Amino acid sequence: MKIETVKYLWANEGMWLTDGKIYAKVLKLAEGRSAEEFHEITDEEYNTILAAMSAEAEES
Amino acid sequence: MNMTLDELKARAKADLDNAFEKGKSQGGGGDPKSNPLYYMVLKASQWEGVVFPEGFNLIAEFINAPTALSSVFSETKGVHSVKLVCKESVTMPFNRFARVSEIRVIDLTEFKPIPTTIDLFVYNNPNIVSILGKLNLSSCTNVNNAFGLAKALEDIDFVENSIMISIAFNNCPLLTAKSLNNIMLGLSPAVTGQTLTLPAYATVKATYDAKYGEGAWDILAASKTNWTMAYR
Repeated sequence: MKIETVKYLWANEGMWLTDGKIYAKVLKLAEGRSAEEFHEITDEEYNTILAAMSAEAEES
Repeated sequence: MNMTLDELKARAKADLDNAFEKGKSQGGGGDPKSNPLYYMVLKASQWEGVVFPEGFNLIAEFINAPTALSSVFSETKGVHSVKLVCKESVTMPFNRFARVSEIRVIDLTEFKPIPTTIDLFVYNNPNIVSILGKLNLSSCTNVNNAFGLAKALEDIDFVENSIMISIAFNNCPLLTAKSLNNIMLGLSPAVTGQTLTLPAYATVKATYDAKYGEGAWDILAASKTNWTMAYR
């Protein structure tokens, strides 16, 4: 019998998880990655980053 | 620029060395809302920015394999669907193909491109619902914002194990359970350090489990041990 479990990291309310490249409310980490690689930022900080990324995409 | 059907035909004729006339003689042409068949050699940016007659359905059959299909329908208006037909499997740029357009259906079932890049593929196309046929991303090195702001996207499929680099569908909450399954089957088991970005976890899980059973999404996600999954 093989049992597979999946671990999820959940951001707190009003927060986002990030390692500087990935942004998420919930994460399933690949093998070899750890929760310590991620920290939380606020919704406002994320929206600022998202606006900058969207502007960059629009200019493409 | 607004183009009438006659102007579109004229452009096709001028560009394609009477290929349109050949297609017309073989039964193509006519009312654009009746699926005219245009034999043409599409090339990069060919129809970029063109306003087609409303509800235009285009079928393009390649006599010779295209070398690049970048931006062909970028910023077009009026096109409802595009079907591409080619007997050869072609490795080529396919980026910005239907970026900022109104195309609802892209049919690749009779065309098997092997894109080297699909960045901005259907970016900011709020009407795209279906991309039919299997996308082979085994040679693709750039998928940046390929499906960004494609909020109506429901149907998509990939050649199994062909997705080699990080890819995002976070703006696509209407993906069907089958499409989610296709994406997961498309993830290569041979890469590391890559991320699949998806819509909200609750949305993905509810959609997938409704078709495949309670807990099915978590089981499938657990099996993709080499992929990080980020839910927005």
